[in-house]
Amino acid sequence: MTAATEMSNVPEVTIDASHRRRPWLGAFRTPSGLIGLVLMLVVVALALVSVFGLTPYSESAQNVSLSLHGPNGAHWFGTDQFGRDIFSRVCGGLANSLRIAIVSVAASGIVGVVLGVLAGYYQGVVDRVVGVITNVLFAFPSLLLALSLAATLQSSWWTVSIAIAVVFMPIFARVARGPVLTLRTADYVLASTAIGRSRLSTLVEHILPNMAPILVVQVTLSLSWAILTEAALSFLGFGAPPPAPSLGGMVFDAQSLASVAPWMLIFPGVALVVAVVGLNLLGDSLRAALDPKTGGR
Amino acid sequence: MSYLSAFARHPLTRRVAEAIATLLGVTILTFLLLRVVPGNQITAQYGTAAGNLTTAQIHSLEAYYGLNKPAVVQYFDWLGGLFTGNLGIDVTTRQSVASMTGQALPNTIELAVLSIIVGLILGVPGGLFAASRPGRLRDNSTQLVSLLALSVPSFLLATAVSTWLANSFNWDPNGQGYATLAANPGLNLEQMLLPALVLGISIAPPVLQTTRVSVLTIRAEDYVRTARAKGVPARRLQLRHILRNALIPVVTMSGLQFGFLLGGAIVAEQIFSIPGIGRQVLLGLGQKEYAVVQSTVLVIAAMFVLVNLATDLIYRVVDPKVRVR
Repeated sequence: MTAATEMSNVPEVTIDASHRRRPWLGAFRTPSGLIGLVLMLVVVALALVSVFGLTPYSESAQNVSLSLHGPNGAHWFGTDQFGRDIFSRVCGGLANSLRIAIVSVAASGIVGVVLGVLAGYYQGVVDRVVGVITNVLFAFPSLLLALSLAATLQSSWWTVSIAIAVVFMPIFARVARGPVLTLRTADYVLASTAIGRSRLSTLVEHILPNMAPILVVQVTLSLSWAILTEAALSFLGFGAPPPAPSLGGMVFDAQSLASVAPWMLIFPGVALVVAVVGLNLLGDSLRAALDPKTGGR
Repeated sequence: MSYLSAFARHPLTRRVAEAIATLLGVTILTFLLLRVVPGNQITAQYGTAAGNLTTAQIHSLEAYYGLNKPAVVQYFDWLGGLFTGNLGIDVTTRQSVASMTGQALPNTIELAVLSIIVGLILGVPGGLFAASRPGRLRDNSTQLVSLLALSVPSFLLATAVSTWLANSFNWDPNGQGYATLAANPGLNLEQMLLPALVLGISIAPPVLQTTRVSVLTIRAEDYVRTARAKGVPARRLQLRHILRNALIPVVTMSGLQFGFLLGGAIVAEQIFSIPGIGRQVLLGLGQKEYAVVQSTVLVIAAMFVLVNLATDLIYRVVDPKVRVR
């Protein structure tokens, strides 16, 4: 470590160990970062209501005598054509969106980062192979690829997650590969191998921590894309099968009824937009806070 | 000999070779995609009735579809077919996928072009507006609007807008049968208006961001300062020195978005009943017409690769900095 610190006195090395000072906290000091954080807290709280089974009504129980009631004291967001409580279904839909987004981004992030880091660090044949895989996956428009995969696999929430994960994997691979190319020749990294550390331990101790800021931003933004992709798949009828609530599916159901029951469209639509806006605001603020050029504020 | 090695090492050659390798990978992935599907063309075609077929009947059908051959042979048969323009047939309608695609593709391309135009009309002035006072109110508010536009899914916007227009103004051009540009240009453009707007709005944010960043970068260049010092009039400086150079990345971005729209228009085509290539995939998936899905996905991906290649090549011609040595 001492050797690494001494070696990093060279002025060209701009990549420092600033991750130790937790610069991302700065993201929450800007108005947009704070708004993003609050929106996400609301979204997560509503999703948790569903996860712990605390919704006022069952998410899929039908009660036709109550169908298409507007928002009122008993049903805050109104009811749909089967008399299901829309507030409960919005909570369930958010839980579904977040679950799929988290699983798919985790899977694509882990696989993508491992492939990208290996490609950037070892180069040569590994780099070529990873390059071909990412190029091929990038050749398909993302929604089309997710759609084909989701339709091919039997539909359930985790096959949808896999489909989205495959689409996002190459993005993570590319995002991870770039900084590794720069970092692997940084003096403190060279120093680490020079003092006899193995390549793997250098990778884990010096390269991965310095990629954290980029990955944090990428994960946040990917979560919002994953929520959008899942919603589009459900809207097109290739999401998790009904009666499980999904925001995209609810918007689809509302399509033909929106003129008589606009709340069927408005509440799931707003929930979806709030989740995505929240993540995008967070992602943008994190990027601004972590970008060395704009300074850690 | 040295010419040959120079040719092989030329960046353009490598770029084209990369595109060809990608295309090959695309065919393998599309082929595998449908081999993973539970069942095959026979069970897909006959449904539950496939269970009543005798072993002999199944064998003869397998031979007919080539399913009895090893997967590698099937792949090369299929690939060979592709080169002769045989994209398979829709089993129900007996129409060839090539002719279906020939009908659907112009509609999608028209929609993509119109959407790009809308995206540029919204995004470029937006980016210039934001860049005119970086970090100030107009920049921040423009960026906020752009972030909102990015966050509203196009299917939600499309559903909301079309419902509202149909209810409040009784205007629903897409409710009637689709009119091609050739058959009825007026109605066609009316039908394309909403989907192009919705898709244009989803393309505008990246165009806006690219324009903004590019203008800010160019403005800080030495040659702009020199031109200003030499007394070039502000208007000429903005148009000739800044805007003209700043738009190069915007052109690249539009090319990428065009490729994306070829497949990304699925949602808009579905909602607005436009018989494009995205809807063809969707209908194929719904009706389990595997040949339709496989070939159409392949056509879209191939066009995506080619459009990206073309964008890249045009970029090399337009931008002297990357013009090949």
